[in-house]
Amino acid sequence: MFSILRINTANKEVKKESRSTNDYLLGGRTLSSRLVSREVPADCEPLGKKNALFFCNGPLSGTTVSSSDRISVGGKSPLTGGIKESNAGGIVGIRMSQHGLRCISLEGAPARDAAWQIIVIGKDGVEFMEGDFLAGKGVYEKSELLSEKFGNKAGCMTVGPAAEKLLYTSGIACSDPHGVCSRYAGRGGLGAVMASKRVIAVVIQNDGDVKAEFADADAFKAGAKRIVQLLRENPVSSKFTKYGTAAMVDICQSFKVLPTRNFTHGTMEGAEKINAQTMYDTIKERGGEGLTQHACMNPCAIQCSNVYPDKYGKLLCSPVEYETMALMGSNLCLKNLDTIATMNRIANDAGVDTLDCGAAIGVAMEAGLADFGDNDAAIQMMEEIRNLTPLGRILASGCKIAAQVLGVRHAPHVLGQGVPAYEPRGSKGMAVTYLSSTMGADHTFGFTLRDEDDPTSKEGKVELSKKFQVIGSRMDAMGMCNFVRYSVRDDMKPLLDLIKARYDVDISEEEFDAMVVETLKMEHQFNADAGIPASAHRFAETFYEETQPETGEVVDITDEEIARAMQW
Amino acid sequence: MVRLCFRLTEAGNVEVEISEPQKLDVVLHKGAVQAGIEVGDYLAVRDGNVIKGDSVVREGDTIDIFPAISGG
Repeated sequence: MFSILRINTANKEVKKESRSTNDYLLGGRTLSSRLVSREVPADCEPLGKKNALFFCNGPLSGTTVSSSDRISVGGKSPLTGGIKESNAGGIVGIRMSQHGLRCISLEGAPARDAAWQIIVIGKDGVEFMEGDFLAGKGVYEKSELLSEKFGNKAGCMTVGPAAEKLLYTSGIACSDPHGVCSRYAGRGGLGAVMASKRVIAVVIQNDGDVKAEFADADAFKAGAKRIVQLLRENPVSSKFTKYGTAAMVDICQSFKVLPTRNFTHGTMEGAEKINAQTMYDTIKERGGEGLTQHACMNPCAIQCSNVYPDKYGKLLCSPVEYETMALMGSNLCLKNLDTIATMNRIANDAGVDTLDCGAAIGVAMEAGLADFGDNDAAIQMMEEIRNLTPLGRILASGCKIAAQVLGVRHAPHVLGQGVPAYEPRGSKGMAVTYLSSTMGADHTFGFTLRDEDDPTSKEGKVELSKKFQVIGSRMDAMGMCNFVRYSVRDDMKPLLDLIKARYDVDISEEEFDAMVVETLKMEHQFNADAGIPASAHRFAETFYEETQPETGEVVDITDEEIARAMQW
Repeated sequence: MVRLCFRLTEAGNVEVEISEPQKLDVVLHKGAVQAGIEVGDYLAVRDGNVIKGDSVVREGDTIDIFPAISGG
């Protein structure tokens, strides 16, 4: 049996329910998206009381299986107006499992002027604590105060000042293994949804005493070792260990899909100044607290995260990821890793998504508010966000709204969510994925780039995108890190064997994929019921009209092709 | 001679002698043996264009080889 802890934020009623169905077994996105589909009225206001937030861990959470402790956060997105699943690493998933929880839901909403509350979940029950003392503070300070009060082993989730003002790019910051709230469920504005319920933090105490049980402990132990072996033997996974996702800078530059100058180019002269090797060398050279290899959760055999130090060796930002390096780097023609790390730190402190804010600053630069390549101006714009100035609030509303306010047509988004770090005109597979995703422009599933014979041709890309929408969704479907997929993409059996060894439940690969597809169908249905029209699944017209200089390509994907990509 | 530039690895650049045009997979295998590395899934780029394992490479070609990873 799997437990969901339902917390009504309006009347403070708490209920614990038990379920035994396979969606509760799998947890992750499988469960979060189904709960949103079943329980949130699709046409509700995302920041109203009818929306709900669901935090779900996966079937291997709380065990020794590498990279299995991510949490999926689900709800209706204020940014896209559709369903949203955003996931994060850290220690929240494992704390949930130590309390015997597969899901925590935040439901209802108190009056808009109600006091801020901290919801504390411990072995003696759920407590609502006064949270006004956290209000207005940055995420790093909130994180320190939460650690002081609850210890740095507590699993905390908090939001930044941008969420307190209900801004659409605000995320939910989750405790990392050091107790710092730096692991973001960043996309889609779910931080604003949490804040709309006047919840400023959720704390899961480190006093859970539920131990993982196994139907076949020996088989489970052997299966967990097998996953580590697969990760270590896989030459691709091992590359993440040294360079992390930053390795994508060089790859995207070579493929001419590195977003540059507000997505008007696919390469940046001087990209090597912000590539993985430069980052690796800088971290090594500066030493101190810098780490080229770091785990966002334990256990993890990949350890793709990093700690980027300032010139004195003190932690500046952790992690700095490729998507941020592109959206807050090349997209703004910035060639300075210190600038990117500083912007990333400010974003983490304000509690906003680095991709959406990077995309919005690109739009602002195109509008002439600053020059591309101006490091100081870019940092200042992030300060505007942190300080919640009028411009900062516009930028923290995402690039679609920023473009509308600032008079820019070339706004890189789908459904209001900023385009991730792969120029869609240079990769038609990624273009199909962005356009057909239920989440708005999203790169975490349907990642075709590495498997496209000819990235600039749209031939066969609907099928390729759909294939990888399933493959890419498998890890999210069960709360695993996405980078495990390299080791199991041709054979899910090692993970399904672990489910069998833990729960004595047989799920075949076909049944598992059928559940993944069923989840996608439910997500599409939710968006249709929410009133999102087919015509919203388009880029700005400029992407169809203006060629990307390096490839000579425009987006040539038709509405009919996208309809096919959304048909399951 | 075909120049294979193993990016994001310690192997660096490797030059492989070929007597006639050959498939990339074949040349890459030789280069990996020379460099003493295991390549795994890879992405290959020649003159700014993506090429696949069955693409024919010729004397004088320079090919960037990347590990086939993705962002996050």
